Amino acid sequence: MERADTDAAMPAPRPSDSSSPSDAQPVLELRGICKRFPGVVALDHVGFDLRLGEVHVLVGENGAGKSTLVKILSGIYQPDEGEILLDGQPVTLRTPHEAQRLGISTVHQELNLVPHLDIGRNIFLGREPTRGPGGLVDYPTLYRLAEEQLRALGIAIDPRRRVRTLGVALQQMVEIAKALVADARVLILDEPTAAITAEEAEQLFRIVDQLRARGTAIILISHHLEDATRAGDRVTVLRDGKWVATMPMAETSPREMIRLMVGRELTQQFPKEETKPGEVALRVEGLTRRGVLHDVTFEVRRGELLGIAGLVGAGRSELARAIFGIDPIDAGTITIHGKPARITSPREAIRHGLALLPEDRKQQGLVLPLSVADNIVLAAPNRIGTKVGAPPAARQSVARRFIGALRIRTPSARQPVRLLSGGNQQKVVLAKWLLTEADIFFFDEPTRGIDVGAKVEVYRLMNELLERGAAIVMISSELPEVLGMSDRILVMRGGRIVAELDGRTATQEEIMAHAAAADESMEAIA
Amino acid sequence: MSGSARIATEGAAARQARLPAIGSFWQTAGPLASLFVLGFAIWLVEPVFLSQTNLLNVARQASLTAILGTGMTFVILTGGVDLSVGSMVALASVSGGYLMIQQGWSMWPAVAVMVLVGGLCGLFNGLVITLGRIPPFIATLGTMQIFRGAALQLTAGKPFFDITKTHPQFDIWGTREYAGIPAPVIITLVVFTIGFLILRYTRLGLYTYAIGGNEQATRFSGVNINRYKLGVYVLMGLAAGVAAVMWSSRLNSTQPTVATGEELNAIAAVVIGGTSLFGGEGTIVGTLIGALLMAVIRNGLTLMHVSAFYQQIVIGAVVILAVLIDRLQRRNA
Amino acid sequence: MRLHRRRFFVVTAGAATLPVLGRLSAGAQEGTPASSPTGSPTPEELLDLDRFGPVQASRAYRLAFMQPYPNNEFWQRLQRAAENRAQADGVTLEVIALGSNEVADQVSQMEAAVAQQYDGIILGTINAAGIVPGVQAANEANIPVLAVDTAPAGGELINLSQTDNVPAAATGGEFIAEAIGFAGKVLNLQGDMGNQTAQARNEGLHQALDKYPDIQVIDQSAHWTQEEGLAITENVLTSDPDLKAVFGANDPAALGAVQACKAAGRSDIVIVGFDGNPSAFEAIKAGDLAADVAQFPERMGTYGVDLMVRHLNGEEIPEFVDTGTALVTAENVDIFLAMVSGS
Repeated sequence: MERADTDAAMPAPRPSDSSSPSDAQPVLELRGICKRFPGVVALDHVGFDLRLGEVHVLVGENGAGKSTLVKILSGIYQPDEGEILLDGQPVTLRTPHEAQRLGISTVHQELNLVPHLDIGRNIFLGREPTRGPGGLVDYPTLYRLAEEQLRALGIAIDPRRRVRTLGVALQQMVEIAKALVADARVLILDEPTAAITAEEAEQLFRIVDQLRARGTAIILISHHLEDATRAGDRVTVLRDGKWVATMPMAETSPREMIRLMVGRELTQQFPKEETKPGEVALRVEGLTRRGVLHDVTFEVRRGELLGIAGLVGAGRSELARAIFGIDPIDAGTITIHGKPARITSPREAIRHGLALLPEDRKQQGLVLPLSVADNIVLAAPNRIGTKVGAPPAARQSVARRFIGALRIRTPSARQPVRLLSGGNQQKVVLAKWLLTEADIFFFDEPTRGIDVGAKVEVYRLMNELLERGAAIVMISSELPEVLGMSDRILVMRGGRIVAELDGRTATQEEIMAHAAAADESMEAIA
Repeated sequence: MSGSARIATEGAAARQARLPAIGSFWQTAGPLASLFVLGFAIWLVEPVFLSQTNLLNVARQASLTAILGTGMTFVILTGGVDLSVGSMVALASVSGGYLMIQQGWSMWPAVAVMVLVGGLCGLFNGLVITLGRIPPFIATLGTMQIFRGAALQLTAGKPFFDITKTHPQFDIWGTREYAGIPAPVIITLVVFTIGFLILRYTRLGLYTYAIGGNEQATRFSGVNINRYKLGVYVLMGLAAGVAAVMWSSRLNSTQPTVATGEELNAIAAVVIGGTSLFGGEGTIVGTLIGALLMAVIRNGLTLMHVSAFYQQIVIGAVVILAVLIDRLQRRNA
Repeated sequence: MRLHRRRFFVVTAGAATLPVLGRLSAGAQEGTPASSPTGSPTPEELLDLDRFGPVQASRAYRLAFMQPYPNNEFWQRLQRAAENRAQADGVTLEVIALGSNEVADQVSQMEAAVAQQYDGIILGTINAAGIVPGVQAANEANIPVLAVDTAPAGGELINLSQTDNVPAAATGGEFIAEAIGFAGKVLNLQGDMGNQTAQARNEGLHQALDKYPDIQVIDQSAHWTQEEGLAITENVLTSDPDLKAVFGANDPAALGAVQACKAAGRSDIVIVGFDGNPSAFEAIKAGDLAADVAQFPERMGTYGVDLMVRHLNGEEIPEFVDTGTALVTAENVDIFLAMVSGS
């Protein structure tokens, strides 16, 4: 970055340092922003200010209005009321392009890169350096500038590599580099840590620290309160579309933030109850899928919650997929309730009482345009109607039982499931498997994208399953969750199980030490 | 997560909670409104439009597209498409003509064979798509040629005319009227009703939506995707077979070149009816309205003696307009 | 237009045929509505295939016949006649059939035929404009090209043998005008109006009918199909119940109109077709169709071979031959039925 905001206050790189830029001129200010959608007020007179060189964290439960605010700032939505001031001047952001031109760049959670183009071309997309009268793209310069930009961010990677080949974390860095090339003075990061590992997140925050030091103003949206405390200077809490509080990070705590977000005190984040594990429900021996899984052996008992930790790409989801019959296996045996089982398709897995709540709910767990009822009955049509029939009334009456039992918040069983919040969607997936009377559950990242209050509900439902004698395998990248909920913890690395830990005594450091030991896969250097 | 989208939709959810009657009716409101507006406009210029004879004409002329559209709705709901329907109608058609005229079969077995030929064509499509794992667009682009070629080969390109001369009963499917209602209209209503019931009340119907809405998630729910896809293409083929019987009877002839390009009319009817070309969302009622809409346009323009060139322009414009209205309506919802 | 300039060299086969048969198009062309037929000619007389042959070839020429629609009845009749005559003339005729509906493929076939050094090419083209490069390829290689039915839009031809659609359609129009007493509404079921033949037939019909102020023509395109002929006639019977007659630019469209009128119980409507398909003759026989403008694909095929052989033998041949049409009505339909069943 060649920009030099010499007049901006140079903030300290660490949020713990209290010489915060509180007296600096706000670069961006929102006044009385209202945004209404049919039937709901998404933002109700929200005010907010962002100063040069600060990281301002926005927190709130799903539906609190964070993302609507982001979309207004990035020019996707227009506010119904209120003012946006940039450097004290009122502006209107009619399109994303206009927002970018004014120096406001957003790294959305769904990344907006062209996967088939290389890093350099993505970074300079739409503003390629040109040469000569014909305006030919000057590729040597483009790649040189891209490399410089990436190096400035502390990433050593060939800008000629295709974006498709990069992991989520690196793609995010490319997006940030792209924003910086666009002369962003305000950088909005929407849930940047949702799909990356803790280590990658740490690297991201080091970059955030650097940008702050250079005077970029950053808005960070995150579900993870650890992210907020790690990186933020100030925090603004939204609840139900209303502004609740803006506080210096140093003067608050995660507990207080949660209280402000949910409007009540959450006594227990992980309500794990002790259960007595029964007989072995599932035993996997020597499971191998060439290049992906190597000689994986483990067992899980009735009433037991087995946590599986590891970095992204360690083979955790792949393990679940292989057991569930989605991906073929090259070797290994699966024993269910003492009987050998040959599973080559999800149908057979379901017949053996297995259930998979996939990591990517929207892509793999739910049929979004279908109703809540139809999603619930999808895996067990034999529980309704006849051999060929599946009358809507029967589907709905079956579904209503689960809507009640799992406290799924939906106006009706006929509501398309895409209109539900993440937590309620997860409950719909769970209801689907409860209807099949599954007793071995694979939860892959069960609380990803689910807000704090709903998380606890998901944990409680897991407890209920365990009490009823189900076996649960929980794959999670959130270590507090793994530690809080698991009876036993397996750590995976490179497609192998590298450690088995006791859930009561294990620590985050212990898990990370096993998960990340001698891992060469990280391409970025700090 | 994309919270804003969720907020927006939770808004819709809140509104929907207040209006529990919301359902498939509103999905077809757009095309239905277009149909009424258009009908009204034509009536202003040509009052004869609303005469009983003319309305029956419209219904008759919509029948082929409506029957094929019923099958096509299933196919498109699964996220597929069937470009071979016109050719299937032709092959089923000439099979009947060949058996009745050339081979001297009596009508009933010949008609049964026509429907069966349609079903077998659909089965073939389904097998190529599921076992061959060939995208429906490509698979049916191929079978479109194969079926048409087979129809031409079977008859050496010749049409069979005046079937009622030797099979006087053959007019019951397409020419005769029952209680003043033309046979094609009755057959269309029967096919439509069957399609509607299957889609709404059976597992096949549920899975048709589910496969189109998210094939992966449906497979992970243990649904035998191939079996149900196969079923959908067979249904499409059977609809084409029935359409072939009806249409051959209406034309009192079978021709290897019949229904050329009819696949596009069927697809247009489905799309005008509000079904998403990506699958998962849509209704069969909408398709019926879409077929009627196209027949009304053609009928109205003919009544007004508008030239063929303008007719094409108008029909094309209406297809785009209907989909546009639908999109705007969805955005507001 | 190229064609009109060529008229100076026209030898109308039809004009020389069968004085016994009334209403031949060539007659109409000369403005003399023919008298009613007396006596019945044999199918051979009717077809008049021997106008330019048989002629003995000086040597066994190798001829190529570009067949654009191998599945079409009209073209099959044309091809059969050409094959028969080739045998009689002592030449080889190889049929090069187009498998697709692509003119580009036919151009490739022409280029291949040039490479194979045929002595002559008899061209039935699928697209008048698109085939021009193929014709030019043959011209450059000095291989004579003779076109049947459709004239390529460019390149050099030694002869064009086709139905002159304008006067032929006018014959049909005159028949209609007379039949409805020179007053009333006539539905014109046009062909695909992007097509030269469709335009010519449309022009001919209007030539005949527009001179009668009391006749109103309703133009609607049936795109050559029976389905649309049927639907449009149904609609027009509703909007214009006083309809008097229907002209179908091809037989399927006319048969569609027959279906519509039958269903509506309107036996009073005069329906005239154009093509000369056996199905139309059957419909005339059954009393459903009033008349049909019959073309003679047999003449195109036969004359094409004879003229090509004569040209290769070194004789002068006419540049244009109108292969003529005949107006088939209930009075003379039997002889035409005999003709098509014989071929």
